[in-house]
Amino acid sequence: MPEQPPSPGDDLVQALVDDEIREDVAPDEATIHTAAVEAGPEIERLKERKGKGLGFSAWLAIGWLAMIVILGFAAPILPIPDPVADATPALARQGPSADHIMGLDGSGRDVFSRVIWGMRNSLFIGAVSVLIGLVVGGSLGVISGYFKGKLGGFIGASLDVLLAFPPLILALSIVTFLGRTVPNVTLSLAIVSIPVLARIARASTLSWSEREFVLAARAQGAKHFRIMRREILPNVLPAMFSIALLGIAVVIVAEGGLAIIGAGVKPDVTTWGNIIVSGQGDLRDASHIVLFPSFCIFFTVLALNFLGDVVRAKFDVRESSL
Amino acid sequence: MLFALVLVAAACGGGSDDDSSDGGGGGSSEGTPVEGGTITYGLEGKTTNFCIPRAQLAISGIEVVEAVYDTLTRPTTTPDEYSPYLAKSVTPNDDYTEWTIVVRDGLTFHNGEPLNADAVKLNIDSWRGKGPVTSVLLLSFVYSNIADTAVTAPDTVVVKMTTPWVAFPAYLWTTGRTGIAAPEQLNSGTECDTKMIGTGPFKLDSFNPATGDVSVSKNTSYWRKDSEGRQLPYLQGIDFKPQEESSQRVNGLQGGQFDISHFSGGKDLDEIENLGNGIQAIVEPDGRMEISHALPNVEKPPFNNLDCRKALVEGVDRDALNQISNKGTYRLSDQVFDTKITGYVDNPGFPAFDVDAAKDSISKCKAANGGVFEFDLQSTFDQDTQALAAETKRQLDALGVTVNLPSPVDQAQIISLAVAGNVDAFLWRNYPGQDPDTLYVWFYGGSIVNFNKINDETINEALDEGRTNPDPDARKEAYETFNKRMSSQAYNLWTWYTKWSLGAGPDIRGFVGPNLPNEAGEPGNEEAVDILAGYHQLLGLWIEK
Amino acid sequence: MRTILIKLVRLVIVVWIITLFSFTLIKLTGGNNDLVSKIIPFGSEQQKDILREDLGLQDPFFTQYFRWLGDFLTGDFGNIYTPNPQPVSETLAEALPVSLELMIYAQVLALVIAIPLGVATAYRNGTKFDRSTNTIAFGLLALPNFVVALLLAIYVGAKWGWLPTQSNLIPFPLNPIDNWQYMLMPTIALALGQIAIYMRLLRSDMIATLQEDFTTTAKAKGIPTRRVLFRHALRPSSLTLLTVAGLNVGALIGGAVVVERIFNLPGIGSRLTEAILAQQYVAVQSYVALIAIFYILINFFVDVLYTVLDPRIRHARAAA
Repeated sequence: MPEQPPSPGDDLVQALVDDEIREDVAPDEATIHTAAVEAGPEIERLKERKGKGLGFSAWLAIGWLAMIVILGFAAPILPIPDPVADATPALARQGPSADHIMGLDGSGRDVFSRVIWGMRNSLFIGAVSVLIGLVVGGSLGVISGYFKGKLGGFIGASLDVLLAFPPLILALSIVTFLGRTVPNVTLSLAIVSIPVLARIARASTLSWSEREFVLAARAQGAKHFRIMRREILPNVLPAMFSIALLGIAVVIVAEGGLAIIGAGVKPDVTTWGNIIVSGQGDLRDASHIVLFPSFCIFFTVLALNFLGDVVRAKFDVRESSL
Repeated sequence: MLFALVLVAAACGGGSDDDSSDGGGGGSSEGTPVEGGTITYGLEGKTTNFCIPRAQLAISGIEVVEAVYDTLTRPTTTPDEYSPYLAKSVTPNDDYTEWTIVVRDGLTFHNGEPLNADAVKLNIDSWRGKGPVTSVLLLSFVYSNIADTAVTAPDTVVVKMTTPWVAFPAYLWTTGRTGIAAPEQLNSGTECDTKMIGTGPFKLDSFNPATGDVSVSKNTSYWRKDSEGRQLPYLQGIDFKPQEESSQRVNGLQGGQFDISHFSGGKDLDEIENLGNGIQAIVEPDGRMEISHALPNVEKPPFNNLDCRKALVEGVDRDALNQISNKGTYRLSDQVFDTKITGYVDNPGFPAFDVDAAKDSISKCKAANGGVFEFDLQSTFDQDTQALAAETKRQLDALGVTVNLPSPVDQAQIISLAVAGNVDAFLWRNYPGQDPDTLYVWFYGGSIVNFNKINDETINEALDEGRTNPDPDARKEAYETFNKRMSSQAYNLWTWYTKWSLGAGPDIRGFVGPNLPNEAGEPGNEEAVDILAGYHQLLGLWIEK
Repeated sequence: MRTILIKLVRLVIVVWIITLFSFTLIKLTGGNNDLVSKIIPFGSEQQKDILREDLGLQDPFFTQYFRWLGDFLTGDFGNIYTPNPQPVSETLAEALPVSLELMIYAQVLALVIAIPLGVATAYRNGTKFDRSTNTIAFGLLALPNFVVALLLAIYVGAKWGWLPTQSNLIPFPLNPIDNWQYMLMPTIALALGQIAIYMRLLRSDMIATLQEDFTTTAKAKGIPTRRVLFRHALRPSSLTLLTVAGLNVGALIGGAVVVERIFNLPGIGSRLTEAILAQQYVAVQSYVALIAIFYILINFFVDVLYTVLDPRIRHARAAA
């Protein structure tokens, strides 16, 4: 009997459920968010497209992300005004015009330029914190999934403690007590993403480590490290990569949330969150200051969520062909 | 010299033309007041402590004090005249070393305790830190000039000074801070912070220190009546609600959740004026406004050097700052006094904005400091202040000065940093237009709230002269000298006169309130002060049905 | 029973570690003197000495920790010193109901909208309705709650004047209608993202259920579609929904902090934010520990409920 095609996102959800039953842990809120992103008909359609390329929406998402990444990297050499040093206070709060396509902010600075520089900082915070989460959380997850004994249990329990804090509360308490710098905010959001990514890695490792080819490698006397690196990691990575994309989206929003409550990066650093906070007071007469960075957050999160789905769909395809 | 020493202060005629100026906020000519109704007052900040001697009151706390308490004197429309209020009279001896306060008879606090000389003495002693209230900090410095207080009759307190103190009546108002509290409150230990008992037009219903919400309701046996003999206050109650974001206060006003709220920024004022739907904007008249400024610590490098201070003043384009905060609508100031204050001079010698001069001063400053000109500019959480700090940094950075913007901290932290001398410069607003002697505590060498850490012989002498010399001409000269010295030494970067305004719903009336009472306690000829740095009377507010 | 006991032991351990973590946080701020002068900037040296004594800052770490823990367990959560000491526990009495109310309203609103939509989209899986509803939901997942809150406040609240923007919160028992009016915008801002989450999860869960035999049988028996959907098919999915809703409290808490701040709601989030801004570290420490414990307790109850209510599902899924 041919194997039934797995329903969307089911492999991962199933792995998490297995993990939950085996280790008696609860799925966390980030996993739920992930599951919700991946639960819709979008991913079904993506799977139907198997072998037909990525499709228009995916290219649109890739295009948007490529654009903001390139703009963010190229910000210093772009022919745009400086986001901090160039200002025309006399024109403060002026709406979009030919000279300033996104208008000017409350201090007469070019919003377009600030959004691009904000992108640079927000994406930096998002990407670096998730990368840390990916490396640290991924290793911890693979190790604890592979060594199911005491070591695995200990790592698992430690991660559960981190998961016991609502993420935003954990992040803001770390920033509050360490100080409002970019590295500290990045670190706090990395700490928040470590247990989430570790959970995924562990659940995924648990299911892969019982597959025949892993057992065979073990029987042949391969070293643990080699098995983890050569046999398990390549299979765990796609799932983690998909989650990491969603993770960057979550972190970008979290940066904004921290900024709103006054626990984000200090205000003279241009981030999307800080641009929105600085424009709050001008929302009535100059809403463009808040709206443009908000659109950017929205489209970026949308694109990342969608690409997360795309990776997930491609990953499932790979799995079923095994 | 007319200090409002006697009750029947002459109606100096000044009142009418300046009151009608900007916003139509006058008191009496708007129809017949109606009694009843409760309004919600949106405050710009929350106050956690109303134990008067130790409370740190900004305008939000002051308006609550205005509701629950009465002060011994009140300001008049002339900046250095104060009219007795809860006091029947406030009179000095010949050399102003002794002041006699006679209190009105037959008044009681909300709890039934009598208002008498003992109660007043207890209050004054508490302000000085010599009463039952502990942890009195700021006020004790303000009153350190008092040597002793004594009750000489059931309604009479004599206050002895260490030096002559000409402007003492101003200190019985202290911008509305020093409401007379019932002995029960002052004696109640930590409860003093929340248990507000005064003689004022409203009684405390509830105070929540966590949220800063205060509810008060009409004191039906209040001692004042209006000129038609109607009982004051008109309102049944006021709910004070803090909302720190000024844009959200504008929203609340438009949405109808706030009946009245105060604003200090020109941007907010512009928004209120354009809300429509009958929303009123009542604007402080020119002449006695607070001064916004950047306040450097002049005791340590770089601002202990005149060239560095001049560089700050010459290098900052205040028009640009005014655009950001006030849409360019506020008057720039070049001195610590607004036009109606004794000591105001037309050109006090404040360096003008001049990039070339600034570059010159900067290189001199750098030469004096080993080639470096760097400082921290501290701001609060207020978005507007942060924008100003950022713009100041932007302008000075372009001239080669290194300005750092530390993480914002709240106002209390800034004061503590300033007192400890741990901040290079910060953005501030102070000095509402009163008797110039009220600046003594802020600028006299060695005073703990001299945040600038100025210790300047000329300034100290002028302040002493103004404090002790009753001759109006001599005082005028002293304060002009003081003012010129302040400006020419560039001790502060004066930016603009802060035009306070009230936004109010379409049916709210009586923002200024009735005339001040005469000796008999009836409305006299002395007009109450219009909005003064946000302060205004509450007992005349009423709702037009 | 035994599994619940094991869970209980784990709960106690996690709670203990939470308190240790929260206590350690305050030690990250720098030296003791720094900490004291941040908490009471206006304090005289004498008052600072008293506070140092009060917090026992001279003692070894674990002595301090256990004293703090003892106080914490007996309901003494320290003080807010701005500038007069106010016990954190006093602020809780008022703030807690507001936050709970906000979260419950948001949760209820989200479920009330998400359940019918989830059921309908599952039933009409693949139709235009399903696709467009899900596309909107996909968009909602990308919409930050603070943007929603800011826009609601300026447009719905102020410019159009439909709902009050300033919380003059009236307790629910006194006047439910007024209470709802003030809570509606914060609730919507908080609930939008949750609606999308619940709807999409329920939809995918229901699609699986609808393919199962018993629903097909029910349909074959001629039971009306609505009844099949809501009685037969929704029931197994409701447990999943319950779990998800319970675990999602973490997201609600984070969202509530942001939303309370924007709408000036006097809940725990506002108190926490204020404590952060005023550098009231003792209070921040307590609020963080309390919120985490609240969150872990909710998860614990959901977990227990799940275990008690439907062991069959767990076993069936474990066997699969």
